Amino acid sequence: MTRDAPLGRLPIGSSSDILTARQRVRDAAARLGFDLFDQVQLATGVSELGREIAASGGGELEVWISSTRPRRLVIGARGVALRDVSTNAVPGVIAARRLIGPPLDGASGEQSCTFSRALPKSARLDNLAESLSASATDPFSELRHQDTELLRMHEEIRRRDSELESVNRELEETNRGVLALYAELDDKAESVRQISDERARFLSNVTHELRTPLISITSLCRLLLTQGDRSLEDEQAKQITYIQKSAQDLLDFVSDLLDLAKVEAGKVTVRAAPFEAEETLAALRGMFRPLSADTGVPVIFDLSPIPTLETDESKVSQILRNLISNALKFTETGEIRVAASYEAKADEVLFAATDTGIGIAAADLDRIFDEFVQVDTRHGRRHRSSGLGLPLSRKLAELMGGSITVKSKLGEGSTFSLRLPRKYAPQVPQTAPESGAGYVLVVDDDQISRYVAKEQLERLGWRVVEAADGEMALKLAREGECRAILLDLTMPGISGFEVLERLGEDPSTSMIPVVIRTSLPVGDIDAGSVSRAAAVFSKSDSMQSVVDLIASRTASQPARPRGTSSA
Amino acid sequence: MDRVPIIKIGKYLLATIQTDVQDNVAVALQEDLAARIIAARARLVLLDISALQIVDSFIGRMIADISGIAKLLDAEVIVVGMQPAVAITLVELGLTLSGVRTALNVESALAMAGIRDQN
Repeated sequence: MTRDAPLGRLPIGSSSDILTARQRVRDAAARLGFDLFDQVQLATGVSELGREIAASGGGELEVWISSTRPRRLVIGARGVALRDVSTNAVPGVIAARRLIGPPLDGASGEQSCTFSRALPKSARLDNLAESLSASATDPFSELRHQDTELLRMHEEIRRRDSELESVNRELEETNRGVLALYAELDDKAESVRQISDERARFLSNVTHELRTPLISITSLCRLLLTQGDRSLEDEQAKQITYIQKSAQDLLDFVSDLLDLAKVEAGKVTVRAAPFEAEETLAALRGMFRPLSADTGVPVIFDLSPIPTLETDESKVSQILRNLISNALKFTETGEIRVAASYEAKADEVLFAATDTGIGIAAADLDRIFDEFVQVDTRHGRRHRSSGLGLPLSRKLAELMGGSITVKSKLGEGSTFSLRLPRKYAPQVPQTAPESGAGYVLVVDDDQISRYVAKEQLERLGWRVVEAADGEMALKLAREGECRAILLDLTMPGISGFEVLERLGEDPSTSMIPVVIRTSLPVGDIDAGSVSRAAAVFSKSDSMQSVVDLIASRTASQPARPRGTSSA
Repeated sequence: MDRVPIIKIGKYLLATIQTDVQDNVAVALQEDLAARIIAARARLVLLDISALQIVDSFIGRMIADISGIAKLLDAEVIVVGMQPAVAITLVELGLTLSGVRTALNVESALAMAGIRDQN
């Protein structure tokens, strides 16, 4: 027997397959010319059959037109469970038989069961090719649909890609712009530096040229005034005195300018020598006595004992002269106090000039140290001065390792303080130990960490001794040359915590400041267990802060008692 | 997943099955209706199946179940607009939907309900 008109196969697995199957069969029935009632019956029958197949684990429906005459529409079911079950006992099969029709005689054994119904007389077999083939093309159209979806997404992605690319390009351009700006800034900084250098050179040259004729003028004036034999008329003498005074003012100004230029050009050197501050101040007192008598404002010197200073006396004197003459300029009534004291702890001397003058507004405090700045006041206009005194003083003070600070209140007066190290230390880092002052003990089991610490400490002027474990560290610490200990916490054998504790218990080592430098997160360390340590640093912290701390600790600690041992 | 729309008209709910539905859509309708009956305090549900051409045993049972659930929730279901072919097929299948009230169209369903409300 031949199947001359197969219509298609409908796989049945899920409930959506059942829906598809009944709709396809209904469409096919409509095309074959079945009336509405028959279409509904056939479709419902297929639906029932489909449910049975789905319930028994899935299978397939096959639809074809029988080759025997009269032609019949045949629906064959192939399902896992249907094969063995007596077809009459299955409800879906019963329903299908009732709704579709009886089994087809002589159907092949391939199907579990078949149902058939005679085609209507008006059946149009020429439509068959399209009837269920619609279902065959459906997966295809589904695929096509998915394809277009994919294409759409692809397009979208490409669009985003190009968007990203353009953003990237924009960023690159911005980056290039920033780099160009940087280069420009570098150029500008360079030219500013050059201009600054040239300015300093120019100032230095010009002021030098100015000084020579000025000195001649003042000298000639002095000569004229002291020529006793050919005495001048009173009026002339007065005029020449004014000429001399003006020339002297100009000379002072030019000298200040020259000094400032020299300092800026780095041409000024500090000539340190031992001297007594009292003598310097006595000289200043002598110098200002006539001036203070003129203005009626007394200059009072408060002195406390000061050890011998070792720094540049002429510069100290110059600064103090500046400060005191400034004070006199801006004070009409009251007094000026000059105080000097010594701070043993920091080994510094402190000079202070306090006036009861016009004072400086808080907003102007920062500006008064700038060159050529004069705060606009009643006094400022009357007492013309260059505005160079304070900046020069500050530069000189800094040159000697000191500083000038000011405290002031408008209308109540000002205090200018000069703070200087007692002993001028030329170009030596302040944290450097004195020679033979012992060493820093670096305790760490990690060789690289030790090396890094050693390098950095040595660069900053310290002698370094290394210990690879706690036992070694304790032994070295008891020997007595150790000034500070840099301690790692996690070490094999004796841990850093235990080293810390044992250092504290031994009187010969308990004075040594210990700085913990650990790779553990600092926040995770129990504060109580390291309370004896001077500080706890992470290994990621800069060595400078560690060194600063060691320096401050070793300076503030009294010298470690020698010879005392735990015995 | 598609859902069958449920419209509230006054005190009634109207659910119209627009097309041949998958089983899970039918199950969802059952749940949705139950929830809406409670939320709207509806006493009457009109289930319009006039567009439905294939009612197999599963969908038929579904309709019967919806009617039973509504009854327990103090509401009545009137199945509206069943196609003649569907009715015949249901009988062929041996599903008579006893206890489910039916009306030919929405108008007559509302008339039936109006009579009931007056009682």
